[in-house]
Amino acid sequence: MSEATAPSIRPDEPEPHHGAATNTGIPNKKLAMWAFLASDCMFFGTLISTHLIYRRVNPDIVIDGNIVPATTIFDIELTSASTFILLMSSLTMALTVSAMHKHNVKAARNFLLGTIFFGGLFIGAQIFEFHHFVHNEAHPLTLTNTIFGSTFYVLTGTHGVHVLLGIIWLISWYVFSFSPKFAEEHAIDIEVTGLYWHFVDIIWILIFPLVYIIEYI
Amino acid sequence: MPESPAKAKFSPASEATLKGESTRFFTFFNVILTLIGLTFIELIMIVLPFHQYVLLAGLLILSVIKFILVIWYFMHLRWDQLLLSALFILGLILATGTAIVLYFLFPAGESAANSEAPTVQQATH
Repeated sequence: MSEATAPSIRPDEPEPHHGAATNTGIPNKKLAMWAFLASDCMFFGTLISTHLIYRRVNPDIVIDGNIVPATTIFDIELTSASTFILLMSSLTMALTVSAMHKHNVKAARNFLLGTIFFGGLFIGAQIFEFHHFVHNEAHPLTLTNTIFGSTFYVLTGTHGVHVLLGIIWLISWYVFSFSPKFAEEHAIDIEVTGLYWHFVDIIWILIFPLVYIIEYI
Repeated sequence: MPESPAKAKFSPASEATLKGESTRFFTFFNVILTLIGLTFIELIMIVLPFHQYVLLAGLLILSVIKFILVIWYFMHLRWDQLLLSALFILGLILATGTAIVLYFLFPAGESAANSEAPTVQQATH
């Protein structure tokens, strides 16, 4: 029955997007996600600029009466590893979307699991980093003891929350992929989730040099 | 005879899709290698004796390249409609413009907290 009524696709035509046709030819979910990401750009833009402005206005980080260079607070090796981990998660996410386009659910599931794993590693590294900063005996950096701490934790913490939400979203897709209701039309949903995940990655691509590496110059 | 639910949900992908995605598979690997390479360059740059402004410019350029690579390839803007690129770039321009204007609106090192810092340090040593 389904084979007889399935729409025929010419080899030279791109495969149609699932769901209702739109005037733009872009699925509504995808358009909405891009609009959200554009607005999220502005959100992170304000957080990044707040951090940079306060670094410019207050060049010294004063903790317990001492000026502490940011390089003695940061652990650039750990942050570099986190960057590598997040980049790898972007690769596995892109491969998940690619596998879904090929209707290869098993491969998509494996790549999805890889993305969740890398995302979890990133969050783990960030929790370790925050714990290390806050409980540093020589110069503890907390949310309230310096302006640098406030802007740093708010910026990287907001990014971390985005990653965490992304992981929850990915886990829900992984679980749902075993449901009999999981079908071809969900490929676009996975793609939309992928857009969000890559966005989180590009924000980190900006945070890494503008917040961390810049302190070593 | 009713079809099994699992098989009915996923029909085989078209030849064009399979071919396109196979090409993308290698593109994605090339992109990730480039991204990792650029990140290593960023790390190496900070230990090289370049002028501060050269380093800053270099870091910004490398970040922009990485940013573009991800949105262009991983986020499929290369293959999607122009409207999506325009929508995202609009948000990006607003964000970047606001950030740049705000950054240069506030003069460096003029806050009260900063002026107190050396005094505090002298008092403790």
